[in-house]
Amino acid sequence: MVMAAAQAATLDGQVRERGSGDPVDIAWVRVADVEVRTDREGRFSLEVVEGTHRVVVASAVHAPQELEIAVPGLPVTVWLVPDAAPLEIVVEARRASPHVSRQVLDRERVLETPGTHADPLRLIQALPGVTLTPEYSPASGDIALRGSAPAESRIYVDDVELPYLYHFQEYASVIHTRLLDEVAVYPSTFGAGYGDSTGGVVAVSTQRPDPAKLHGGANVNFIMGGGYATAPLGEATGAAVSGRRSYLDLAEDSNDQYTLWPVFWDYLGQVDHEAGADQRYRLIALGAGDSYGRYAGDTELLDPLEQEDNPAFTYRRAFHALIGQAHNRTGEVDLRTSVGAVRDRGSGTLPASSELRDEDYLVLRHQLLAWSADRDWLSAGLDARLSRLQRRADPTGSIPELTREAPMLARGLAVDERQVRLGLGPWVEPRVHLGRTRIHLGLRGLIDSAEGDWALDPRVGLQSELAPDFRVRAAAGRYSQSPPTDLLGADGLADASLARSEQAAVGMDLAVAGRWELGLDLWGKRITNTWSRTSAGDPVRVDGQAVGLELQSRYRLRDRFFSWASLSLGRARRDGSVFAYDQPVAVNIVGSWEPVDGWTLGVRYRWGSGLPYTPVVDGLYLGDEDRYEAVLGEDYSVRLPPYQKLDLQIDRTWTFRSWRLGAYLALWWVPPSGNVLYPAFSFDYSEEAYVEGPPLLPLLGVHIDF
Amino acid sequence: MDLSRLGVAVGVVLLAGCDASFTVSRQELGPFRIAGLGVHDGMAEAAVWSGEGLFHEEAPVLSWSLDGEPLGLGFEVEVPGAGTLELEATSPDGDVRRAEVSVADLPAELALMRAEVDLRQSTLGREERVAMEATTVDDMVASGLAARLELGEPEGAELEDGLVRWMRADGAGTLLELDERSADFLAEDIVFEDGEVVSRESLGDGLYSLLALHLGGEGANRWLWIDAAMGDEGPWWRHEGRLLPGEVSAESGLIAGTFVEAEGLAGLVLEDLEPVEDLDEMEPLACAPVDTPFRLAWIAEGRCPRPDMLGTRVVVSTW
Repeated sequence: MVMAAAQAATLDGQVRERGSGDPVDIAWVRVADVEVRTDREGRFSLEVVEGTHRVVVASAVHAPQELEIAVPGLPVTVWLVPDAAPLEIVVEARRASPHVSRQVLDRERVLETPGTHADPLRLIQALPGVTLTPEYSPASGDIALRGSAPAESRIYVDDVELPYLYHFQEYASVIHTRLLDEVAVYPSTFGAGYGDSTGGVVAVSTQRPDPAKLHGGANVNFIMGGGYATAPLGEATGAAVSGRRSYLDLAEDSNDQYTLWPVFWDYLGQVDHEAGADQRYRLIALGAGDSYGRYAGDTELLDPLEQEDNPAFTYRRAFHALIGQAHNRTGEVDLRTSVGAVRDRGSGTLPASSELRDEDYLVLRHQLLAWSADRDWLSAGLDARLSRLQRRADPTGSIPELTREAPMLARGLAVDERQVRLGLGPWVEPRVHLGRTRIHLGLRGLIDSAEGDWALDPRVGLQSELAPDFRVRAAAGRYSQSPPTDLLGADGLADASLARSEQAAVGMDLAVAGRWELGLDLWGKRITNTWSRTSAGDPVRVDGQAVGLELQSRYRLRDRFFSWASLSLGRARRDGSVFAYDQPVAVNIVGSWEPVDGWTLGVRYRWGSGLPYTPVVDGLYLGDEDRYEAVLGEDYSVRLPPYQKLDLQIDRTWTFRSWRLGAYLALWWVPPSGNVLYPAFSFDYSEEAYVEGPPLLPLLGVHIDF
Repeated sequence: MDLSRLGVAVGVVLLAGCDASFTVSRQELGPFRIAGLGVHDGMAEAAVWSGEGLFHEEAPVLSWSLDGEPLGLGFEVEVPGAGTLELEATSPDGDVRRAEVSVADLPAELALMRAEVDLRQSTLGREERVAMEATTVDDMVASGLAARLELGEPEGAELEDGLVRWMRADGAGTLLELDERSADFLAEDIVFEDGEVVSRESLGDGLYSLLALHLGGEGANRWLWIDAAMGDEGPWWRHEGRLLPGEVSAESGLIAGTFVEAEGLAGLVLEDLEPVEDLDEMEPLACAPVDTPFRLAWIAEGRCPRPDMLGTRVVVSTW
C-alpha cells in the first residue's frame, strides 16, 4: 500500500473569501480522490502522504481554486474569489459619491430580509426618507421621497427610465431579483448627474453576467414562478436571461369581480462583452406586462339587474425596452454611453368605448469622467429624451370607478391627440479636495421643447472626514422638472412651465468598532409650480415645502447577524394643506440571524403614521341618476390609522457541491386595525369604513440556484 | 391546506383588498333619507323617508332652491321654471340630507300591477324568472309565492322610458328585478354567492312595504309607496300602491275613514270606513289641501306628521 510505504502527513488550512476575508464554511477541499468539507471557521484537515499535491478547493458561490501544496508544511490559507461582487451591508453610505444623501440596497441581504418576498425594490420603502405605505394598498407601489410626490422622482434601470417599476403599481417589481445588482436611492439634494426631477432618484443596476460559469435558478411561490440563467458566451462575453409569470389565472380565470383574473409577466435578456480591460459593452432587452378584466361598476353597490348590465372592463399594459451601454476608459478618462428605446402600450376597454395610451421614447445618456492624479475629477454629460405620446379615448360617459386604470374614460374625456417632445439635460460637475473635504460643484441644465422653458440649476455638495470613523455631509441646490406629457394635452395644464425646487441637507456618519454605523440627516425643500390633480381629476399647479430628520443604525457581526433600523420624522405641505404623502413618523427595524449553517431567521417591523386623505363630509343625492356624489371636506385633513406590520421569515438552504436548494416560509402579522389600506364609503356616503389587508398571511416559496 | 384557495385569496388582496361592510344598502330605505325628488304639476316634491316607517312623528324641514336661489320652505313650494332644483332636508333629530334634480315637470301618477309567481323551486336566475308565468292578483299573494310587481301608467299602459329602482322599507325580504320596470318580491332572506343561491329562509306571511322610484331621465322622477300582502288574506282595499285593511268598496272611488294608531311600519290605519261620493267628510287639515282626496304618501313623506292625523277623518281615493 502506498500509504504504508510513504510517510503520512496532515494538510491543515483555512479557506477564506477574497475581499471580505470571511471564512468559507461550506467549501470542499480535494486531494486526488480524498475530499473534506470545511467547518464553520472555514478550516479543514486532510491526511495525505508527504510530498507535493495538487489541491482543488471549491464552493457553490466561489470560483474554484487549484494550487500545488507541499506537505508537511505550515497551515495554508486558500483564498476563494466570490462569483459575484462581495456583498456588504444592506445600507451603506460611505462610498464616494456626488450624491450626499444616498442609500444603497444590495441583492443578497435583501434576500434575507423578511417581508420583501425576495424583491429588493420592495425594500425601498424601508429606507429613511421614503414614505412607508401599507402592503397591497393603492399607494403601496408609490415611492415618495422626502416630502415629494412619486411623480416628482425618477426611477432608472441601467440609466433608462422605465414606464413602471411594480406590476399593477403595487406588487412585485418588474425585474427578476437574481439579476439585480444594486438599488441606489437619492432621496433629495442629488448631484448634477441627475435632473428633470424635483423629488429624488432611484437608480437600479443589473448584474454583470458571469463570463466564466453557468448559473441559474428557478423559484416559485403561491403567486408566481420564474427562472433565470447566466452563461458564458466565449471568454469575454456573458449572457443572462430571466422570465416570470403569475399563474393564479390558470386555476381560476374569473369570479364575481374579475372577468379576467390578473396576469403579470416580465422578462430580461442581457449580453455583456468585454473587448478589453478598458472597454465594456452591454445590451439589455426587458419588458413587462399586466392585464386583467373586471366589472366597471362596484358589484357590491349594484342591483342585480344593474349587475347584468355592468360592463366588463379590460386593462392591459405592457412595455418593452432595449438598452445599450458602452463603457470605454482611455487613460484617466471614462466615457459611458447609454441609449434606450422604450415602447409603452396601455389600454382600457369597455364594450362600447376604449382608451389607448401609446408612448415611445428614446433616451441618451452620455457621461464623461476625467480623473486627475490627486483624485479630483470632472464629471460632465448630457441626457436627452425624445418622446412621442399618443392618446385616444371615445367615452360614452364618465365612469369614476376607472380613475386608476383609465383616467380618460373615468372623466368621460374624448381625446385624440399626439404630442412629440424633446428634453435635454446637460451637466458639469467638478470635484475637488480641500484636505479631507471633497467638494462637488454642479451645474445642471434643463431644456424642454414643450414650451421652450429652460433652467440652469446650481448644486453643491461636500463630504468631510473629520476623523477616520466620523464624516459630515452637506448639500444644497436647485432642481427643475418638466410636467409629464399626459398633463399637457387639451385637458391638461394651462402651460408647460417647469416646476422648481430648492433643497438642502446636512448629515453625519459615525462608525463604532467597525461594525456599527450611525447616521443622521436633516433636510428641507421648497417646491414651486409643481402639479397635482383636484378631486375631480383636473390638473392644477401647487407649491409646497417639507422638512425632516432621519436617524439610522446599521450593525453587522460577520456573516451571522445583521440589523438595521431607521427613524424618519418629517412634515410636508402643499398649498397650505397637509401633503398627500406627509408622514410625521416612520420606523423600520430589520434583523437577520444565521444561527447554524443553512438556517436564517429574519424579522422586520414597520410602523408609520397613517397617510392623510380628504374626508367625505356628506353625500349629495343626484336625482337625475339616482346616485350619490361625495361632498369633500378640507384637503387631507384626516389620516388613516397608523400602519404597522411584523414580518417573520425562516429560510432553509441546502448547499450541494454545485447547486443550492432553498425554501422559505414568510409570515406577516398585522395587529388589529394596523393594516388599513384605504377608506371606503357606503353608497350614500353616510357611512365610512376602512378596507383592511389580511392580518395574517403565510407565503411559502422555493428556489433552486446553481 | 388548500393552496389554490389561498392563492386566490392572495390574488384578491393583490388588487382588491378586503371588502368593507356597511349597515345601509341601496335596496333598503334605511335611516332618514331623501329617496327621490322631482317636480309634479309645478310643485316640488320629495320622498323623504323618516327612518321609522311610513310616517313621521314630526315633519322634516325642507328647504328648496333653484340653481342656488332660495325658493322656500316646506311641502308647498312652487317651481317657477327649468334649472336644477336643490333640496336640504333636516330631520327632527338634526340630520341633514341634500339632493338635487333637474326640473322636468310631469304628473306624479303611477299605476301598480300585481301578480303572483311560484319561485319555490326556482334557481332565481333572471332569465328563468322571466320565462315563468305569473297570475294577476288584486292584492294578496298566496303564502309561499312571490309577488311580481310592475309599474305602469295610470291607464294601464307600459312605462316607455327609464327604469325603476326598488327599495324595501325595513330591509325585510328580497327584491329581484325582472326588467327595467318590474321585480319579484319574496318574503324570504336569500343568500347568494357568485350568483348562486346558498340559502333561503322564509320570513313568514305579512304585509311588507316598498318604495318604487321611476327614473324617467333628466329629472322625470315619480315614485310609489307599495305594500305587498304576502300570504296575508286581509281583507284589503287599495290606495295608490298601498294596501289598507278593511272590507269596503266604492264605485265612486272615494272612501272616508278616520285615522287611528297602528302597529308596524304603517303607523296609522283608517277605521270607520265608508264609501262616499264627494269630499264633504274631509276634516280641515293644516298640512294638506282639502279640495282634493287625501294621499297616504303625505304621511309617509312627512308632509302630515302622524300625531296631527290621529283622529282625523279624511277622504281618500281607491284604485
